[in-house]
Amino acid sequence: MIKFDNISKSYESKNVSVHGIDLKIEKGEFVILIGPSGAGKTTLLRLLLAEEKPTSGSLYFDTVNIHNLRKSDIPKYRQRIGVVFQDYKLLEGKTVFENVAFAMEMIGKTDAEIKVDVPYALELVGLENKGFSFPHQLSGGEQQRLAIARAIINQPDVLIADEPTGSLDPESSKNVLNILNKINDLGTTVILATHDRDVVDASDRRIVRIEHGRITRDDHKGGYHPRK
Amino acid sequence: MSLRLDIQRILREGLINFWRNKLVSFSTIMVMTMAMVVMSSLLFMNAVLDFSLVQLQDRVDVNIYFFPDVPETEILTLQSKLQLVPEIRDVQYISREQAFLDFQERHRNDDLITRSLEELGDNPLGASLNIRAFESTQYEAVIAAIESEPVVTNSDFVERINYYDNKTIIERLNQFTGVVRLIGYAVVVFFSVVALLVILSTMRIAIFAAKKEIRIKRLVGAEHRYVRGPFLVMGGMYGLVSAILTMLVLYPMTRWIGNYTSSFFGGMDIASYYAGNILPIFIILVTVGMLIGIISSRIATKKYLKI
Repeated sequence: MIKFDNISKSYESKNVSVHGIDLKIEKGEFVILIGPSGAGKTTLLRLLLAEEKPTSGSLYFDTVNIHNLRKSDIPKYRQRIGVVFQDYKLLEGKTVFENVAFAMEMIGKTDAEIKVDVPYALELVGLENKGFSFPHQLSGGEQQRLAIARAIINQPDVLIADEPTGSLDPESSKNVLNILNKINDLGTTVILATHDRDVVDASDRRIVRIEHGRITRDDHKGGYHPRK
Repeated sequence: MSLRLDIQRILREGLINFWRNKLVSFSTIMVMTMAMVVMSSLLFMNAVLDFSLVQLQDRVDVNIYFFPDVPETEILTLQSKLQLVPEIRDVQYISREQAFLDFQERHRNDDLITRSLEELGDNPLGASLNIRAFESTQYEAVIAAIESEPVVTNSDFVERINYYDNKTIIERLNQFTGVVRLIGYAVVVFFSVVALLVILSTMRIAIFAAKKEIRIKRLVGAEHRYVRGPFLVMGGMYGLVSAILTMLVLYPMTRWIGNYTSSFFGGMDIASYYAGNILPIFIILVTVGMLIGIISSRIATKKYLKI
């Protein structure tokens, strides 16, 4: 479904870059990207979201090379991907309800559908009583869960989560992981970037380790450290 | 997505943003209103100048003053002949008696003149004909027609003709108003450009504050029109509200200025001019305001829509 074909990306201003990445992710897979900070995990996710173009190589989604997409086709492509950003990227001027509803409006859902689906998603992440709050009135964990609700509301083909448990206590982290597992069970491909060892060990999924911009490990199943 | 739902959502989003960003909306509207008040005041000034010019041109006439002993029938015959000249709008006959009454009325408060008249016991004034052309440029033809009449060339009849006195004044006035009008338009254009630049910068600041929001919307898959649309609605709203505020400010302003200037500008009352043209003025202000608002938000959003 997703194929990184010899992808390289280098920046003039930053040290972060990736080199010659070859990675195939099948439909319905749950892949965990691990590696130290600055290893290139976020860069890969940004490339996948067409937020940036690679310096060389191609990136295929289904059979389409996404960096050849016309500018006007990019929104439609992004609508197939749900993203939980590391810094949440919530719309500060909108309420919790509106933040989730916005994603549905983008794909042309009616107001009636929005009224039914948004409360359901908010309940799923435990924010059912916060619909009228603004993001700055929420705790870090709540903002994280709001970002998840927005990412999953349109039942995307792929869910990307970049350090979704970074600022959460172990209990909340477990909840987030449960939600991701549930979504994956429903057939959505999940790509999770994290360096939270507990999360990795608890999930027993495919592990791709990135160090200094290169893949150093790709285990079908495993924990944070390779099993002996 | 249906077009109706699309437009409805863009409008709603624009209106909500307009309301929630009160401070930004308020300052942008203030700047726009000030610019529009300045521009419309200048346009008013031009209208007043135009009006004054027409008034002054209307006062241009040719007066033929006759000696007091010229028989009335001669003068009335000349009047009816002159009325047939195509360039002449009207010929007014002022009889000796009327001239005397007018003179008395004019100098009612002047004791010396009143007493001199009483002393004289007789009417020393002659009759006159007051001739007006349709256009101020037609007086050459009018004077030619007048001078071709034998009654006029008879030096026993006509005391004097005053056309040549007014001519130079009128020409100078024409030149002067031409220059004033040109300067007026130049100032209007200059202030419009300044206003446009100020509004554009204000909008840029407003949209710069929303730069992060634009980026997020793009990353969650919002299409161009969905990101830009609400800003265009906001720009349009700024223009609309500013136009209404400008209308409100202009009302007391024209009243106040009108009180002081109506006698100066040849009887034109700015306040009643404003009241009489309220609808076209409103339409022009709203159109200009909304266009400026929409165009500047379009320019200001362009930069942030690249990703």
